[in-house]
Amino acid sequence: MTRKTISGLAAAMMLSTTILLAACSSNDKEEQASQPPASTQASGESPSASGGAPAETPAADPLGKYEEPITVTQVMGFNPPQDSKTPKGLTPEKNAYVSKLKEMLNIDLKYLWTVPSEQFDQKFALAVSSGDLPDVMSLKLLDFESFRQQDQLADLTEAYEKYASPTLKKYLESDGGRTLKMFTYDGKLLGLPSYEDPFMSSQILWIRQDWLDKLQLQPPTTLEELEQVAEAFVKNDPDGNNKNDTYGISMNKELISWGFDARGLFYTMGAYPKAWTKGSDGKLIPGEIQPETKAALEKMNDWYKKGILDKEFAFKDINKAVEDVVAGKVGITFGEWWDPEWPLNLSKEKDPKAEWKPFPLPSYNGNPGLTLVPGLRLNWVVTANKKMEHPEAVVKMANFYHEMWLPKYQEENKPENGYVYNWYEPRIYNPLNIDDLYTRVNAALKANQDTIDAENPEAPQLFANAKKFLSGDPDTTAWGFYNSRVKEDGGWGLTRKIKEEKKFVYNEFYGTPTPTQVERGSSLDKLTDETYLKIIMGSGKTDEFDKYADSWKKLGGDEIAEEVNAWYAERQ
Amino acid sequence: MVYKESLSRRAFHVVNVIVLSAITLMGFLPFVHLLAVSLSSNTYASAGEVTLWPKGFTTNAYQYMSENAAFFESLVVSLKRVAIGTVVNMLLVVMTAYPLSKENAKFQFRTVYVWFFAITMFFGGGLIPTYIVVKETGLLDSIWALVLPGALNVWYTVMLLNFFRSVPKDLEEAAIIDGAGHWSLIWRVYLPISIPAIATVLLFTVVGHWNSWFDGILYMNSPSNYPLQSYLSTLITAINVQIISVDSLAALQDLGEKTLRTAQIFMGALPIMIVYPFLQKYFVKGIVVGSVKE
Repeated sequence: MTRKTISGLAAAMMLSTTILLAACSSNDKEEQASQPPASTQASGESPSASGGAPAETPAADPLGKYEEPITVTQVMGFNPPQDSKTPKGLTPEKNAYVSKLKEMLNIDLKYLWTVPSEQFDQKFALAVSSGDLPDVMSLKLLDFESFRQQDQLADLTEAYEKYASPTLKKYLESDGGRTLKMFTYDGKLLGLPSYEDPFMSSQILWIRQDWLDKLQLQPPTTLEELEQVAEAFVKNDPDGNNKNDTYGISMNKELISWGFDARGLFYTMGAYPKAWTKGSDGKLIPGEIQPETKAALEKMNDWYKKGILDKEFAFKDINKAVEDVVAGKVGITFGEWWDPEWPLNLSKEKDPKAEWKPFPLPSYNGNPGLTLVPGLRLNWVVTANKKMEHPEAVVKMANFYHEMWLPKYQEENKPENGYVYNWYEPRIYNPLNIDDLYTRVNAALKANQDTIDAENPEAPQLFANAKKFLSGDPDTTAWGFYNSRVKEDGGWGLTRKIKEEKKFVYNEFYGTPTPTQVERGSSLDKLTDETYLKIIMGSGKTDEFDKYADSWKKLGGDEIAEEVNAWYAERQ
Repeated sequence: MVYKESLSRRAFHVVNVIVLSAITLMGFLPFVHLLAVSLSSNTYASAGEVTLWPKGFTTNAYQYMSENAAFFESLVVSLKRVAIGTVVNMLLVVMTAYPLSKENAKFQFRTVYVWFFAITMFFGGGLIPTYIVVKETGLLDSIWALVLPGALNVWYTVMLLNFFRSVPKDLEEAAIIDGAGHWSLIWRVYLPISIPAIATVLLFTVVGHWNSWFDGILYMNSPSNYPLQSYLSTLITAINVQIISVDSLAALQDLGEKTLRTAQIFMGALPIMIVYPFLQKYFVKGIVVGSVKE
């Protein structure tokens, strides 16, 4: 399992859940202002003007059927269908969404090629270089940027204004149009960004409550207390097997990755390596060379010597770190809200006594631990090829996807009927879906309902799992879902609190890599990773960090900082 | 006759057996481990507690694979590929190596051709130009895209032509006196005598075709045309992502990503492990099977 895969997993876990459906939930705290993204058409050369005849009618039907069938080409990277009831041998071409699209909108969806998602990037790069571009493309940020610079993307301003359904508008503008504005250049909307709630990345602390109870310890609220708990977990045999085989805090050789790593610890101490936070002078500063980072590394060095950190962590990849969590060798791990769904559920299955509980980042020197949150959490940008005859079809196709989740299609839209939702593109998700699910399911539980309305298609499953857990069923899947998505002091519940209490800082840089980053970024990252490991494992001297900071700046860091700040100034 | 071994010789034997056994185990144990993990329950596999014997024995991973039509579809593609690919490759390699093994006097432009082929060994067009060539020649999405681009392996050709050169000239002359032309020379003199070399190249080719996965992903436009290894590689990497929905999470509880992955790696390697011993015997026979005494 490669690192990429797992980060894909993490992203996908959230992603899948980030589905749909209108019906504003009562507690959407986000501003719902529907501010149109692009006010005026700056230039008259909108390619969509040459589009279909329907573009002339003012109040266009978001799902208007074309009189003559039109063909839209796509390419796709796909995963196996998630539902085991999906008919065997189904291919993306035979996906029922595709035939329904034809029936409802008279659009013939054609795939130039399909490939498993892991290989998509490579295959897509080949297609780009051989000049074979489809009409509709869901692009990563980097690809979007290069296509935009080469002027290959159609202007979707008019199509969006005329055809976007209320649902689509609601999702895309759920942050007050901030993200949509980012993809508007010279008044032209070039893509429909499918983004997510950035708070899904919040770091929290997962601790085994059963170990705390056994050793009669209180959950830590400060870093010092965390250290005491961790030391007790090392020395006092929390698993009661009379063997000295446990360590304190889970770590792996990638200090800054996607899970079971050192990010949470850095953030607790106000250090944000590999991120850009706002400094006191209003400029963005690189976290990896700040004094807070130095202090955090020294703390880790101390913990390493004390055995709180696994002595072998430098040889363990994420897989191995997870093995330790499941095998019960470690009782503390920094992670995210979804950890109970994987791998804590496996730990629970292995040892039913294991009771993992989430806690906010501890405070340090009297300051609360502030987690880092990305400025933008983007899955992909839906774009149309400039050469596409009917760019408005992109918007209609996105509308169609949301339409299909409405209750009236609920009987039809099922995996056993050949509907595979993750095989249909373009998909624009509800950025606030996890929160929506949380609210719905909790409301239904409080009202003591037997069933839940199906407006959010994921809600019934989640509700059933929550019920199952609350009825005392030992099923660890139900345990995982309840503890991550439903419980008020569970993974998502705690994440909401972090957001409400503003215990976070933004990573302010979320543009595409700057030229120097492209050129030097990977070697600088390598320098960073190696130095950090050396400092933690204690072979280095105390001034090692300062020497590193110097060379980091000289080897391109200063240029990167300039470029990043130029980007930042432009964004303001 | 009583043959008494000296002490040092006996010591050598003991060390020899120990070292060779250790090397054998190093190659063998990983497979045992794979097999054990693939037959274990997900929890034990994820906790890293399975070593050489399955824990929480289950055959779920193999059942899942056997129920999966795509696995067998891609197996068929793979077998087709190995069959066609090996025949084409071997023919081309032999037909190229034979003339190039002749002296300059017999084949004037030999050096030119050798250089021509040698250059392709060191300089390739790279991924994108190769892809474009395959695309423009209309091979995309057909089995030929997997066979033709690498059909003539220059490295094997060089190996074989060197082998041909080591065949005693007298043998060739004798055959020519008996009235043999080049065709008869290839088929009736050179090939039978070169069985060890041919077997080596054959094994490399078969293994190469069997293990190759990247070109399948590159040149095939839909996964139903994937050879087995391409299919496996997609499953192996994609299975994690399934964790996302409630249903698949439940399924993954008893069928772990790790067990499934190991089961597939094991199944993918099995055919080669079966074939290998049968070709192995040709390597150990020694190189020239002499028929002329000098």
